[in-house]
Amino acid sequence: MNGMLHTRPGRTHREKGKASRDSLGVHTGRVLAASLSDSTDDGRLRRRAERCAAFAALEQELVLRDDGRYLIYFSLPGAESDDSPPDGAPGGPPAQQPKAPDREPDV
Amino acid sequence: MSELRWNPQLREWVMTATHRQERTFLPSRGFCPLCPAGRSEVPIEIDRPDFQVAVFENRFPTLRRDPPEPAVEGTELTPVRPSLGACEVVVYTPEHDATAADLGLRQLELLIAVWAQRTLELGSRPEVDYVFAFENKGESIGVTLHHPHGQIYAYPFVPPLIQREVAAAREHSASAGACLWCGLLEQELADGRRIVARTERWLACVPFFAHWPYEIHLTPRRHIGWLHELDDAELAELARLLKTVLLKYDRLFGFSLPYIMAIHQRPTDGGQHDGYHLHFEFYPPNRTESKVKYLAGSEAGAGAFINDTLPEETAERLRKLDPRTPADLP
Repeated sequence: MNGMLHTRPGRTHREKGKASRDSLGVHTGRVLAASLSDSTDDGRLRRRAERCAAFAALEQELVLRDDGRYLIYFSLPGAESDDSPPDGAPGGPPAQQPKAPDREPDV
Repeated sequence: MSELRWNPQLREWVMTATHRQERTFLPSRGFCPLCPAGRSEVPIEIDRPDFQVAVFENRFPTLRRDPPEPAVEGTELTPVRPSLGACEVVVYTPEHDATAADLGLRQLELLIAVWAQRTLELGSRPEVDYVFAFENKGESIGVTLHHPHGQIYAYPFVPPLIQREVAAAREHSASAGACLWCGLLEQELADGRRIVARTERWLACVPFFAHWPYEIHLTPRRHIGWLHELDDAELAELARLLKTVLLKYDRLFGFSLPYIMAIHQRPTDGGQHDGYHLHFEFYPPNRTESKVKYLAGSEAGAGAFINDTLPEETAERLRKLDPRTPADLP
């Protein structure tokens, strides 16, 4: 069975906060995010998270707005290239998709 | 004004959020707040001309890091709590007219990684007991913005449906000594009639007990509870299976099918939830090309769903649509 997200079995809710890392509001600028592997002090969890190369390669950039809200840009090498087939092609979306019709009374 | 009000009849929290009445409602393309700077006449949320995936705090949050004091006083019978938590918007792409089905496989992998990262980040906050990533697509679902996006709610409680699933998992584990979803997977694989698509590591099927005619659940074969536990192959296959299911949906009636997508992961409340099994659930409202299923008397008033179709038949119809299998994707 798998371990906990951020606590070990038996920890209380209150202790959970002690185990967590600093949250948003403390970072600004560009962050090369390895946060999927460093968000917890649980060693077992860290090893599992690192099993996925895409998670390790995830990059994020945090922007703090004037109104106090945050905005995070995420990127992954290769994600910008659209490998989808064109509309109407095999494996691609249907061409000229019309909108769903309005609701009709259910019976 | 927003707060959490306890419903002692159902033993659940109800969230009030009166400021959400003012949120942007179906703006024209030129005024889309989710389009990047330069594409929208009024760049509101995204300050760059381009991006891959963007996540930001909802301008009209139901839950927030700094909630206001409740507007009413609770009682012993009906307590009230501040609406502490978080509400985020996840913008899938700069392309206003795209849908999740249009995303490339690598972009879908990025999106999954973002859901995983946000679950870890938000779930690590001491006040957050559950992180729920979801998507509402289509006006018949009630979306207010057409730009492809999803949302993440970080609740200060475990929401009712998840509580019921957690309890079911615990009881099944205690009585059968095994995971409930692993048992369902085994049953669906052995039966085969409700399978829509599959990969080596994932299964997509209309559940035996579907509420909605074209409801689909995606479940990993391996017993894991959170997205961040996926390995490379599971992530790649999930992206491929997601795209397969979404393309099938769009071919079902010949239009971009509205749906609700719900990602069910384990709670982050510090409790023991080892028996819970990660899965995705899709609920399209359409029961035919022109008719949608309403939550009417039995569903809304008694919580008892009526499905007008047989899952075995809707699964067969979905299974036969292109792409037939995830392997058919380029």
